[in-house]
Amino acid sequence: MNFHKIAELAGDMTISEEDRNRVMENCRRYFGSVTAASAGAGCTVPAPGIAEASEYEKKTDVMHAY
Amino acid sequence: MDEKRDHDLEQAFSRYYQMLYKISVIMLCNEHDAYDAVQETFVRFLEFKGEFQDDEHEKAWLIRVNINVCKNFLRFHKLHPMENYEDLTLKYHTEEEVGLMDELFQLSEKYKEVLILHYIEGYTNAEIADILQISESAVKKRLERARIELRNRYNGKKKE
Repeated sequence: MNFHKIAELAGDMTISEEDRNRVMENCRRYFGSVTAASAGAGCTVPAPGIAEASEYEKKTDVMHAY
Repeated sequence: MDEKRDHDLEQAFSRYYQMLYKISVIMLCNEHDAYDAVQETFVRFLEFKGEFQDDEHEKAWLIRVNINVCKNFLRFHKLHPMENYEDLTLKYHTEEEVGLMDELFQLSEKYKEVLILHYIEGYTNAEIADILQISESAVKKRLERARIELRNRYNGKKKE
């Protein structure tokens, strides 16, 4: 069995340009909202998809040390 | 966001988003969750207040965070089960390609992570040990077991 084939096949998994820009914009927006909230300047607007997991992490404290 | 941080994000994103997406898809078996995992990884990158020693350190940090984010997603789905398995092998053509990737997606996360880091990212056992924060001998054992597991599953499927 050729395990190195995995790398070749995984090469087909790519993010489109449109999704790339959307994901990066969400990062900026989410980080900006968190920073603004911590400075007392406004409320947080979580980026889609992030809020649920983040809440879960807070509750269960399962994030490892980075 | 200040200019420097935005520049750092732009640079790191351009370099590593495809790699992190690939890792996330294999770990999570779902493209939408993979987008979220990449997104969350870069949010953590923005929140990170330390300094990276060099590009390799930054890359290894992002991989480690991304794998942990994926594991958290998987734990969340275990607690809140949902049908999230996508047929990600539709794009592959030969029986070998479909079989190999299908079985890879279904391996346990601890086997997937070592296979990804070794075969896709080309890391050595020592580097994988550093990224996953386990011993080098544990990496070696996991890699060996992962290969056996993948081979057995693949061969088993072929016989069906």
